[in-house]
Amino acid sequence: MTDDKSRSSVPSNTSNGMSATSTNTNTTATTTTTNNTSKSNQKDLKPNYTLKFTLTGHLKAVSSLKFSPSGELLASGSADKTIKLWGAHDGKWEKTISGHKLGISDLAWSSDSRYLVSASDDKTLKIWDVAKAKCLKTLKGHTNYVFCCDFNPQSNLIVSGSFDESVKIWDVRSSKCLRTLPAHSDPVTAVHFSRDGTMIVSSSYDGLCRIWDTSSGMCLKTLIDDDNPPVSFVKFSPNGKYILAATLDNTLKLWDYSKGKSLKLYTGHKNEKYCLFANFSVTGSKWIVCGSEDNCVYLWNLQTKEIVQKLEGHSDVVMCCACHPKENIIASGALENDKTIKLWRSDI
Amino acid sequence: MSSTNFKHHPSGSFSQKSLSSSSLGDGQTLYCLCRSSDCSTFMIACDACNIWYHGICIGMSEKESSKIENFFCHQCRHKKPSLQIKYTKPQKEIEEKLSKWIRKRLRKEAELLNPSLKQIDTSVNDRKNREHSSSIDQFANDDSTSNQSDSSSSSAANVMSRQKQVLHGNTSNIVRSTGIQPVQYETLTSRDDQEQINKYPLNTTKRALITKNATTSGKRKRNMSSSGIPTIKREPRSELNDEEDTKKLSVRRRRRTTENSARQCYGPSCLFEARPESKYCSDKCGLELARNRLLQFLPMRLMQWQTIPSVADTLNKTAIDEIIIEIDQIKQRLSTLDERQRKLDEIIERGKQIKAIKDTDKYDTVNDEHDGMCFCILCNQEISQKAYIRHIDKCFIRFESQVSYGSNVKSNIEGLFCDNYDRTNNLYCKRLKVICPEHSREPKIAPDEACGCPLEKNLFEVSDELCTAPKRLCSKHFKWDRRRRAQIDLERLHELMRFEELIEKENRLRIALSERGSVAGLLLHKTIAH
Repeated sequence: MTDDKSRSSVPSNTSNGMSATSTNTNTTATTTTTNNTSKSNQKDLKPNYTLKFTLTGHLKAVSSLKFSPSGELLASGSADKTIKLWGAHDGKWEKTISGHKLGISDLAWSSDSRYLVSASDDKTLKIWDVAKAKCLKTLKGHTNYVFCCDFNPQSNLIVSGSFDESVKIWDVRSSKCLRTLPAHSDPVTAVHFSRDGTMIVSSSYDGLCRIWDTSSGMCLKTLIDDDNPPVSFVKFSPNGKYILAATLDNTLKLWDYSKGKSLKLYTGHKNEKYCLFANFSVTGSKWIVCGSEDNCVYLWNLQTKEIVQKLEGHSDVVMCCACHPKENIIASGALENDKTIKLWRSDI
Repeated sequence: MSSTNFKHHPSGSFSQKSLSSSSLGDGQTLYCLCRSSDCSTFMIACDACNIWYHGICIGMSEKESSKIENFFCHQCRHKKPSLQIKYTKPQKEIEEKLSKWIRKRLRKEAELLNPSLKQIDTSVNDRKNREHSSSIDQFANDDSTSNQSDSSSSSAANVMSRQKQVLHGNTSNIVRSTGIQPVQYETLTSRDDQEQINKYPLNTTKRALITKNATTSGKRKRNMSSSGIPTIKREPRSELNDEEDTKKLSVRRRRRTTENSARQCYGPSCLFEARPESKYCSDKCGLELARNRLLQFLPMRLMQWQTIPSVADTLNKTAIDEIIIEIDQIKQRLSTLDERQRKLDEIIERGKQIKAIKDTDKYDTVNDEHDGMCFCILCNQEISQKAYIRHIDKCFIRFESQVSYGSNVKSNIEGLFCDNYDRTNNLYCKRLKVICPEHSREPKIAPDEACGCPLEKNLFEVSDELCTAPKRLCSKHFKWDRRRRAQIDLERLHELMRFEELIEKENRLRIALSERGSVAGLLLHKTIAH
């Protein structure tokens, strides 16, 4: 990964062996200059997430957490078959949406924050109107638990991955399955649309991450490393260039998929059993956020790969975590022993 | 003979020592439901009919009976619903106390039924080794529900249920020592099943247990297969910790169900017996208890709720304010539209006053330049350009009549919609009234009526002059008044639709605002601020 090259020729940071020259124009860092001026400080920057709210109310493990794109609501899906909506800033319960017959594994918001899609063990996906708390459509077609789902940025398509080893693309308006991709040879653990909606990345227990073209359904790339431990989670980076993949050998990898090479490796947490969610935190400084099976939430510096903070407080595996789209808020949800959602806030 | 064999008598029934029982003439008096003359165990007499009942047969212990003031047997209560078993003091709302009492009772029963216990024990042990489930109390649960109807069921049934409870009590003891999880037993809710079993108390107990267990095991296996977890590592997120779950549930169930087996109503300061399969003697008691509980929790939760200001509330309020502003704007626009209509009406009125001038020269020169033949786009006939506009109007009406455009609701806004009732489809025509092609009647134009359309000075300015050509012939301003009216109506329709949308949105926001701190939500969810 190309590191940011400092415009002011500060030679302080030689850790990656790159020397900064004053004439280098910085294409990637059109961000604030504070990021570039003191690179030595950037290494020492640490977030100070503190626990602000604990939300109770779910009757079983919390399996998925997502902030709405508008930043007002937090949706939580749980094994108790319900979706609960909470205020993102004050943590107050807003609404409960129920209708699924079995527990919910994953949730996704549409871009206008009006609709939610939920993937459940009852082999269906349901599209909900958030304001009315009503189920608009039920997408049937999978033959085993639906494990993951995502809306595309235009919010006219839904992609879902299931234990039946296939990935399905659905049209929202007609609730019909447009395409079934014979994606993997083991349960599909995560699916994600790229920023422009033209590509889908999917991961599975068979150890592969595959990138598909949305319109044609052709497999564009398969990412494979030396070893192939089951991949439990995958998602595109916000700028669409990289892929973050979590594997069940306690590692998180950042891949450059065009080159097919793994660039960064994040370790220190525990992930051997569950499909934990991982996120990019981009609202302040750049972190990688992921839950862990040792009841903590880990934050890594994206560049230096070191653990910058460990959020403790849960009493069970932290299954899901979400980052607020505009503010430095992290939400984390835990499993059966805990059943609570915790909201953390930071200054940077 | 009969009186001396009684061991204990509860104070209330002691007075009713007269033994009115069926006499067989040979000196043997028969008591109770079981119709035996056995007087060795604890007995209680009904204060109404004076029949003595064994404590075992009606499911009552000595200790329980000591709490009773007046006892009435089931038959008497059945005949006269007003009679209720009265207790000496009200139930306290301490759940642990109750469960302790239940456990003591169970231990007592165990002592009473000691000999029968050994046989049943072995069967239980076998079961344990085969299955793993952790709800002892489901068993107790179902037991106690069957207990509810015990006053009406046969004595044997009660013996049966007693035995089962004993079983349960013992298994829990054994389990604790060996560390194996106790077995789960199926519900015994139907009384018929119970009675069938009860005919042969001990042997069929085993068999009954076996069959019941088979069904539960079947159920459990089915559950496992449907969850279909391939390996330990690969667990779906929502199928988590099923067993631990049931363990917790079972603890909760135990508390709940042991309460069920209590006979005194759970209402605050209530002295009556609970209804069968219920904790309360009447709805009122239940509601009272619920009210007390709410008063315990609700104020605390409300305070917690109010300490954290709700962001969503403020957002909703600002949204509602915006909507109100927009609604005002719409109302203004509607009034301007009304103004326009009024002006139009004025012009039309003026036009009616004018006499038509048959100026054929003028008429001809206007149209001379454009007299060619063209084809109607709808019916493909060859039409002269002079007559084009009239022809297409007729064509349009013909085509539009083929399509109906309505709904089954009659609109309440006067004059906007056509609202012509179509009997065949039960629809009201929802086109604009002024230019509905199907239903609007062409008004008769008098031969000397002038067109009356305001003429244009330049391209955009409108003059005060009106067209004086006869209306019947003027094709430049063909149906101008209806068109103008329709324009105004269309704009009005748009505004009204937007108005409805906004009203609906406002309603939704208001409902969300009001429901935010709802009681159910407060009791079920908690947000702790740190």
